[in-house]
Amino acid sequence: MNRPFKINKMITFDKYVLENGLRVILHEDHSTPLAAVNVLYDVGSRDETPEKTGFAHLFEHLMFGGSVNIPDFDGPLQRVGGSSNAFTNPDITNYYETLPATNLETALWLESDRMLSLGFSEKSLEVQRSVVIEEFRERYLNQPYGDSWLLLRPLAYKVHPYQWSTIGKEISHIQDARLDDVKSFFKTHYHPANAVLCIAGNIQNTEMKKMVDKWFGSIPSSPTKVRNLPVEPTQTERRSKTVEKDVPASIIYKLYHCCARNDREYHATDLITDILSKGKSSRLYSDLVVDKKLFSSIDAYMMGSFDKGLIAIEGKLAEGISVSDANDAIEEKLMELVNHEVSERELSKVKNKLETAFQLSEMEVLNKAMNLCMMELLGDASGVNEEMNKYRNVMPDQIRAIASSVFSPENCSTLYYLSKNHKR
Amino acid sequence: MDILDRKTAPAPGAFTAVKYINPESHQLRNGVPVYFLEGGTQEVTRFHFIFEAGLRHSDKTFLPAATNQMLAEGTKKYSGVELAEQIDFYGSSRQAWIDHDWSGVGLTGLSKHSADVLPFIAEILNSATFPEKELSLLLNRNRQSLLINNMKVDYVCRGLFFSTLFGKNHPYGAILEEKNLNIIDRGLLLNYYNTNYKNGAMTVIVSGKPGSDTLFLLEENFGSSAFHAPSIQQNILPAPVSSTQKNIFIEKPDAVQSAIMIGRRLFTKTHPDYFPMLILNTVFGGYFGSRLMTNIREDKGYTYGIHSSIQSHLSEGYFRISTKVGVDVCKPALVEIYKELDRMKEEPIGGEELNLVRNYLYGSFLQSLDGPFGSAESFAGLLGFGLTYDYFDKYLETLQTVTPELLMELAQKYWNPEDFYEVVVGKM
Repeated sequence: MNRPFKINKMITFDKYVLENGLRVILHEDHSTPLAAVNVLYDVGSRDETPEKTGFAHLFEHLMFGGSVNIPDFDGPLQRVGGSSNAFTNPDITNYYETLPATNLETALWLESDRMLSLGFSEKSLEVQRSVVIEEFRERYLNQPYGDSWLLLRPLAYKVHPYQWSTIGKEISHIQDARLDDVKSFFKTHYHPANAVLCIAGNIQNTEMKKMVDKWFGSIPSSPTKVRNLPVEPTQTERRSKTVEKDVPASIIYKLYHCCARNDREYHATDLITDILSKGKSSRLYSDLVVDKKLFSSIDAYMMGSFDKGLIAIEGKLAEGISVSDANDAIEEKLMELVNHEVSERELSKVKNKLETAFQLSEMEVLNKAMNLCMMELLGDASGVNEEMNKYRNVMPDQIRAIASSVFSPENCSTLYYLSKNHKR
Repeated sequence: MDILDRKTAPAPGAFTAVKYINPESHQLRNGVPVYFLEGGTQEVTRFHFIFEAGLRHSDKTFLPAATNQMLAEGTKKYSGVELAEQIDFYGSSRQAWIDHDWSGVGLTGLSKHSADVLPFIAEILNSATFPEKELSLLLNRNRQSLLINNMKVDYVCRGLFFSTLFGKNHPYGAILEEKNLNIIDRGLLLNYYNTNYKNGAMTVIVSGKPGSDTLFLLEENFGSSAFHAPSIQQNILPAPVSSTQKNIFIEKPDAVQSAIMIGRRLFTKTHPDYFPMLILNTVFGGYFGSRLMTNIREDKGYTYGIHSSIQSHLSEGYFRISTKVGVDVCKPALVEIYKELDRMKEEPIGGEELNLVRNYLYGSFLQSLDGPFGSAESFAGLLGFGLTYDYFDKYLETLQTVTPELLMELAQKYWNPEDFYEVVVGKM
């Protein structure tokens, strides 16, 4: 006899706000010996000024360089069997630790001290400047196509700060960072009311709560800065840029402006990119790579950014294919979404894929902690339990309506990243 | 109210005993072993179908990988796109993977769809057809990525490093070149497939929360096919032939960073010194707070990252230091690497530092076993070497008992620069 399968189990959690404004989410999971701590700060590269880009990310590095009472971040955490990391994107900066649940308090001690204040040492700044410059070289300069997004962002965004990459516009901005800049960045963005804390793992909520109050309760509050970013005006004519570089194959990048993460169209838009390129049965892959052999690889994805985002399509041309044929073929595939409704089966397929992805993402406490913080910042942590339904509810006519508003020629920016020896 | 003491770390809790998920083992009619590792909170199942079909099983460098990548490109009943569409439709995902010794197919999905999707995996493993059209696409794609990879200093450095250590004609040291791609044809693939997959040695590991009919489903889909139980030894490899040249430098005039790899051949994970060497290596370059990271990244800022590792294939092992540094600091970085190496041989590791590393490794071990999928990965790593969970117990014991003196002796024994190979690609 088959065991009945239970699906869509809810993630349960407690949520409250400390007096200093810190939003706290607690989730018990007794199936693991571990606990995860996630601290999300509501600051990303979109909060930088055009003359000082790359700062949010440089700052992320400095957060590991010692805080006001604790000279070394990683040592004490590793000493209790923990590990930690962080990432910065245009919208947020996110820090996290995983450790044996019995040692949870060590992570809270460390995170609360760096929320209180940093060590601000000249040495740490000097070293992390060079580390980040090496990261810039390694990821963006020292590999083929590494600079493509440094070129793409300013093509698609003319006024919004999404026009620069999180790593920064240029190395000199990182080189020029001064300790005073670092201090004022901290003061503005790193305080309880600008953060969301989530703890998930094998420990009772009441225990977690006691520790949170102890370590975070006394951090003084600061006023939250109201974000006032320039709105990117609607793009009204087709843009393109061509570069020729010493790369083995040409790539076409096409960017289309689309909705923001909290917009109603978000889930349907996300499904569009899945229909286009998720898996080998997806449209772009099966038609343009396998059947027509125009591309050796092709991908479509959405930037789920907090402000108005982008759908990106990038296709690497097969040998001997002309750029204009390749470009026409992509546009033709996009027009199919505009001219015809997607079938029930194809739409179910991409939804089913997502359902599995949701289940998988809930297998680790760290993932759950990250998702809870993210949804809380976007409005309400309980969103983690509603996301899948929002995808389930997307109908074929919505897909078509969004495709026709997004995939118009005047909404498109194309970058032709050509190989020097490309035959045209 | 007491004033909070923020300077002192909270007292660490006692480390809890590690709980392994014990595998439940079965055998299909044809002798294929099946292991179930059940656990976790979500109704998902992952299947690993493991074959003795890794890179070591052919003298044609690209053949094992090409066969593995082509498995799902078409079968007697379905085209590649049809197979992908069916598996995708049930929200499942299929992975193909290959390493030097083993290869396999993975399937991850909701448990309720196992019955729907397993027949497609059986198709792939029993009646793949390796269509010409898809093969030429695959070869072209690999030609293109080879060109791209050869522009990356670290890719070039890695290839040279392993060919220097094991020899170009050894499967652990072979460098992929375009000529390896050009000799591949459909006949070779079919032949390799028939021997190593269709009539090959297979092991199945099931993890997650599979339905109670899963063993029945496996029997039904795979039990009467020609697969058989695996051996432990696999095929016999030629002895590795290390290069006589110890220092290799390839100049890339446009490079902004140089890739550096330094190391030597060592033993496999069944050697008695393997565990203490893992611990020694962790102190030296195996974690974020390591000596190498602390000096070369955190103090000097020469690099975004520097790591060292002790790795074990089935028949050989190696020790390797690897980094990418700014071309202007390549020479001083090398000086610092050797300086740190000397320090490991001259001074015993301090009690505080060793204690930190013990605990760090304990925590990582706990994390690696977290959940059924992690447990399945760890279990697979034992199974191929004929090991059991006792091996992990011995590891935890070494972690607790190893002394700074023993580690220093091992550094003196295994870390002599005259035994090392040094490969630099970029600018000096």
